[in-house]
Amino acid sequence: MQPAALQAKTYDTHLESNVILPVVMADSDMDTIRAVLSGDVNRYAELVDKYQGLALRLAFSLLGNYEDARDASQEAFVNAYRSLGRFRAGARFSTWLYRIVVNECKDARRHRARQPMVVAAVGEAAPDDQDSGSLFVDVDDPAASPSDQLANRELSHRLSEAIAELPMKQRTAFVLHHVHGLPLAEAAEVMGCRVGTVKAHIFRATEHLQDTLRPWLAREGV
Amino acid sequence: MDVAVWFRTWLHQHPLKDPAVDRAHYTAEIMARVRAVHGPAPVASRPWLQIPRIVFASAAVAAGIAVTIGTTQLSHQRLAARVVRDSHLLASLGEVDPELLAGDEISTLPQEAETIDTLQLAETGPSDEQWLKQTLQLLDQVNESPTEVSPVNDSHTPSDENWLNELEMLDEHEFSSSS
Repeated sequence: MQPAALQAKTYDTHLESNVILPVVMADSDMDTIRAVLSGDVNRYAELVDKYQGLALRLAFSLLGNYEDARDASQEAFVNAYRSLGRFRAGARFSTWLYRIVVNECKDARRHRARQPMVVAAVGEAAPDDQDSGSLFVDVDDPAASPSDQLANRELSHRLSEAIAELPMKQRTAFVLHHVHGLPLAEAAEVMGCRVGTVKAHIFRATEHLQDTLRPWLAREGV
Repeated sequence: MDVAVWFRTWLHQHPLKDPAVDRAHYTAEIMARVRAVHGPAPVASRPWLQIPRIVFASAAVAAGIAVTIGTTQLSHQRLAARVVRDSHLLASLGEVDPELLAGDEISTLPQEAETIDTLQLAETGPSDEQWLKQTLQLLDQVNESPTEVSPVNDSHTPSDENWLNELEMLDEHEFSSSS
């Protein structure tokens, strides 16, 4: 039986399924937040456990490596805890957290830019991940020829690099909308701008990616 | 195929890589940091933040009006103070009767000045050109023509000639007596 307090619909990610699924969010988030605000700090672990996949994925797609993504997402959760009193009752916690994660990623990029000795490895995966160099899972088509499979991996790698080359705003808009599946309105809310601005960023990002990936896109018949 | 559609399809088929983290460990790390956060606990929810934006907008407009009115009143007060200060200065120079400055000057002077301005405006006559035209019309009505006065007049009147003759005779008399 569903709880009566079911109200808002949001997007949640599941680490196990590796797929972004829209799920119905109960008012349990608000209950948890109220409990934390009234002094039960341990209840915050529920929110961390529920949204850590979302935060990590967003940070990874914006920063391109797991180490930075892990640091930025953890910092985002701590900052969200500090600012929990400012969370609006009617808002979605996921959207609010997305916004904090995006801000943390911006700070992380600025910090990284000030450290010229640190080479920013685009798409650098976790140490135990043998298939580094791409943000995306390589899905090999068994029916495809080895050369096509190789071209597909190369495309995955090049797309990750091309996304990393985008200016931060274009990258954020593209990633939020196309990679994380946020509607334009929610992406605009996360970025703190108008829907039209998000559309413009996505359009420019798509143009840049199209130019960069022209040989691969031609192969794909685009 | 549209490139945006292609991207969407490709990204749907190739999701982001899984963050290889131990969920429990990750949560524990964050909670350790959260518990170590010093300072006040998360502030209690502030109900005033939930007031609709229209209320905030109205309050902002009201505050703007109050500031504008306050500033305007302040400028009047400054003007009145300046008038009084100048008047005292003039009084010290003997230009203004000091008795005129007695009383509640700051509150009444701006109104008085405004009244005087209004009176002066009402009493201001027509321009010189108009005045001349009206005068000529009046002279026409009484059948008199204005005397033409020329700054340069070469013809001498009889009285002028007499006076010049007297002057010449006087000069000759003085010359003869001195010699």
